[in-house]
Amino acid sequence: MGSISEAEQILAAGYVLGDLSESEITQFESALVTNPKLQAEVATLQLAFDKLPQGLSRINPPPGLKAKVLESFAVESIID
Amino acid sequence: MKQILSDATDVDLISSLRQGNQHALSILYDRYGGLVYTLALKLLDRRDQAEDLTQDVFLTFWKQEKFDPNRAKLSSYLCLITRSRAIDKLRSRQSEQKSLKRLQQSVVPETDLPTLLDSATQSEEQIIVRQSLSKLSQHQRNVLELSYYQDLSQSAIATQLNLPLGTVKTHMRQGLIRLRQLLQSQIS
Repeated sequence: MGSISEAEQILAAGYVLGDLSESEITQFESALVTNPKLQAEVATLQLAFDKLPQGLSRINPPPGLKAKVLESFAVESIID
Repeated sequence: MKQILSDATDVDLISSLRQGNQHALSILYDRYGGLVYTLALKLLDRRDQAEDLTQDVFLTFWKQEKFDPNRAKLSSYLCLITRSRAIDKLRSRQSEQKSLKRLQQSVVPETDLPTLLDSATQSEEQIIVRQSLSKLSQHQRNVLELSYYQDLSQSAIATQLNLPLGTVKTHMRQGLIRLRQLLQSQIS
């Protein structure tokens, strides 16, 4: 992704975070359509943001929940 | 019916699940139940609601035709819908629409989607994300987490942290760029 300028990268982050103004969005999206590297940048930044919860310390669901899920699945399958 | 093993891939398990195989759901729950419940509880802060949401997510995620397990990582998809539904529960429908819009606004060509940590297991991914987050500055981590877990706007975050809006914007953008770099550097 060498050909993206730092300014473009910062705009891409702003785009993913939803903090651009209307006019910045219009301008950014017109650049986005013709620049695959910028598209990849946006998509990767989005993936990175979406990774945040993976870092949480896991809390085990209550033991009965799995049985409840499987039971509801079985009931739904019969109805369908 | 073909025997499904607990080390089957997510793609194979979803395909079996879509054919009505309960055992496939059981394995997927063992794999991701903790992640979905943890995120639901973090967002909703109520055990009963977190349980309901976890159940709802596992009974419906695979019905979405939009979801193609070959193209998006299941753990990411589960987090996305858990967050979207939790926020929906928390504050009317506006936010859900925003999140869905984000899903749909895919301007990226479908054939060439970038990936991040795609081959990492759940526990590897947890370690990598934690290490990467720990390398961000306190402010960067803070603003990103407030945005993710409380769905706060930047101006709301600025008020809450008593920081100028411009500073919040800079921390958040730089934090996201740095996080992306850190996560990517872990792969190679």
